[in-house]
Amino acid sequence: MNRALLLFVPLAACLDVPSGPAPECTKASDCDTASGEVCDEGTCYGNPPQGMYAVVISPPAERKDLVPRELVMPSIAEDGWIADLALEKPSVFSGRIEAACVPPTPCDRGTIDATVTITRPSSFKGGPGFKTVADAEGSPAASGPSFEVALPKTSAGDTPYIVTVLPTGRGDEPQNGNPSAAELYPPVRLALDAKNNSYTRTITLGGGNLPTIDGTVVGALGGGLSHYRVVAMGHWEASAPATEVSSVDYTGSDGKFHIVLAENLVGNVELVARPAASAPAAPTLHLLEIPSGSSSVRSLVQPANLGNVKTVAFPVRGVDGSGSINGVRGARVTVRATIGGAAIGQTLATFSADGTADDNGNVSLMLLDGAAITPQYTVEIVPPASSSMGVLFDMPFTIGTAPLLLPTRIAIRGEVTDYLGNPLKDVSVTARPSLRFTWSFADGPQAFVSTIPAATTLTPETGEFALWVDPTIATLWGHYDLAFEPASKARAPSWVRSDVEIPRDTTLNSVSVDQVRLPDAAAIRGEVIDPDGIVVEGAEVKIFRLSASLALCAEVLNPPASCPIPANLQGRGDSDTAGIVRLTLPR
Amino acid sequence: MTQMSEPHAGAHTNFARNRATSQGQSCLAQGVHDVSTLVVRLLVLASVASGGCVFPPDLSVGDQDAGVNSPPAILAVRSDQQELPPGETVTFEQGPTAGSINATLIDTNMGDTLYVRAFVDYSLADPKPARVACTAPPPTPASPQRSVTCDVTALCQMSDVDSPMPRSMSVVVFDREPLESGTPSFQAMPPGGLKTSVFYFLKCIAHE
Repeated sequence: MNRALLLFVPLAACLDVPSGPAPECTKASDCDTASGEVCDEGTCYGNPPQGMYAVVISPPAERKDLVPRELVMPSIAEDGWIADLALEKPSVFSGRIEAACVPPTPCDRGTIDATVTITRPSSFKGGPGFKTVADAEGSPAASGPSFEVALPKTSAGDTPYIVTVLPTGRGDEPQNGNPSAAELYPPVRLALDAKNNSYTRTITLGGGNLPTIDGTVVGALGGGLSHYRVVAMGHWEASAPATEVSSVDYTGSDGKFHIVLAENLVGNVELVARPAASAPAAPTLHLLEIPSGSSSVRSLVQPANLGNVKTVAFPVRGVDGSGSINGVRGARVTVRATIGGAAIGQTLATFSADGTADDNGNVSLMLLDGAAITPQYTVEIVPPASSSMGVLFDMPFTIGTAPLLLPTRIAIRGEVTDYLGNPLKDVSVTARPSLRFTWSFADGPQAFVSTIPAATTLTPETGEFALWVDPTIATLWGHYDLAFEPASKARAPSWVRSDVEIPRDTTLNSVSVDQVRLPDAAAIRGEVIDPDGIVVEGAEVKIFRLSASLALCAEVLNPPASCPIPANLQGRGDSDTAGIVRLTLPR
Repeated sequence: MTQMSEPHAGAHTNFARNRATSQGQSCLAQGVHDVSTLVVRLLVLASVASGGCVFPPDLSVGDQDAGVNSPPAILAVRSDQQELPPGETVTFEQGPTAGSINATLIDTNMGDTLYVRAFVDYSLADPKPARVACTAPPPTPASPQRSVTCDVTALCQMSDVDSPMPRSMSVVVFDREPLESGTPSFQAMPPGGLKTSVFYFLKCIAHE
């Protein structure tokens, strides 16, 4: 027995290698062969769930010769093999950005510094779409491309790419020396298909017949205001958001500016004059509804009685989950004011100052103290991610008032199990405002809600979770999506419980959801290859479940015009050295 | 890609030539052979049932010295469409259509939980809290490599859309949970914690 103990002691003192899950199968009969499952690599592959899916394959960064590819309704066999995960060669788009030649000015055949942004919506509803940015280099060389971009090829009937060329040098302040490209030329937007293997194009900026806006930025007493950046905001399409659609100019001591509008704009533009960040705090000035098809002369007038800039420090406090009042370190604080209306010809002034609360929960902002602006101040506060203290939105703010007190959030509690009911450890659980919640707000609050960091946590051995969320924002009761991402996807898939509603009861401090039983996982796989049939290691494959219903957009007050309900990401994986990618889908 | 830390130099055991000799007079040898076979089997079964306990293997990857922490490394960061090359300009939409990022990470301390944070315009002079946060638990089965998907809805704020200059974005991976306070602000860790990061220029656009 002593000798048995002698053996036991070293065994007890040795390393504890973490044990993985037992193989799912060792022979075919361990799997649901009647539904097509096969046993391979200790996993039952196959029997994929029915549904409408799309796949996005993206190559590793080092394979510059390959581009992402989308597949709608991929073929997934009963044994779990996904067919046709083949990456494709790109269509290479190269070009030059040049200035329009307007006689009698000598033509400059060099290229212009610009940023080229190329986008295309996804081929399936709610897909991620394609976006890339390339820098076009300015050069005196009269030939040769100034940029080159690899694009996934398009087919007949596909939506074309949108290419937006934005001249560089449009920073907050003018650069030293000669005017930048952005000061000389407006942006350009064009459509491009990519059916061929390559495209070469010369894109011309500027021109003699483009409409211009000339004018001055003046103070309330009439003197010119310097150090303002002036630009026009407009629309390339009627339903598209406003974006910069002109050259930029920076005012001197006389306050004068001259900007050139882009071609092919839709509707009117808005003139925006923003003070430089290095200048004393001042409002941004706006002039609305300026026709985009003709030249005009405009003046932006700064309101009177703005007062002086003063440093305003104040504490941000909140009631945490234990009932204690503490400073909210890391809270993002924004104070805003709007002066004037949106009437045509009237200058609208907007002011904002933001800061981050320090370790003691104190924040310091540069505000104006004049009679025209102080009654207009409102404050927004967003605490750090996963805080138990909530947001403040659009609350009246008075300089010198008592500490701002954030409301307490409500806890969404629950338990995550696998499909057999066993608690799951190490599941990442994230709560984010649902689309129903977000699209119930008007534009301003909708944008605010989108900036609230999502609460996230990991489940312990018991599978339990608790996440702090705002029960109401701007008087609307919350709805949240709960996203679950297990650590071991071989046995439990990613899953989303959508639209968890917060009960309309102000006395509650927590909400319990029913046990979240993750569905059984269907294991599938595929082989990623390049156009030559060679396997590709490190490619990422994502499978999305397509949302057939757009009913949500009819049920909420403010959905975007395109009703962009994202497709639901169901599974992802990276291909190994053999090009094999393994994923799971929820059944 | 961030440079991986150098693996710890393992002690190269120099096995001297060990000719086989009779151990007939060795107490240990006699002890092994004297122990009942049933007791040995029970001991082995007990060690397996308690979690696969084995003698220290000669690991080529992992902690040669259990007390030394290795820093994590970022193999790749991907948006919903493509891998994001470090140091380049990346584009995200503002709002619920922003999508997600997926980070592929390596940590030879396979039991470590890794904490991923995305900061925008962070500097020591003007520290700001992370806009994106997610957590990568130890993978099962154990592996140095793991991946994590992070929601980036809050990555772009309205004031970032069409900003004249791109923002700076850093994706930072910590192998200890960042502390509530301490320096550097929002990136302080308990003693011994290590981190790594990758940098991008961030361009935020409105959804069209």
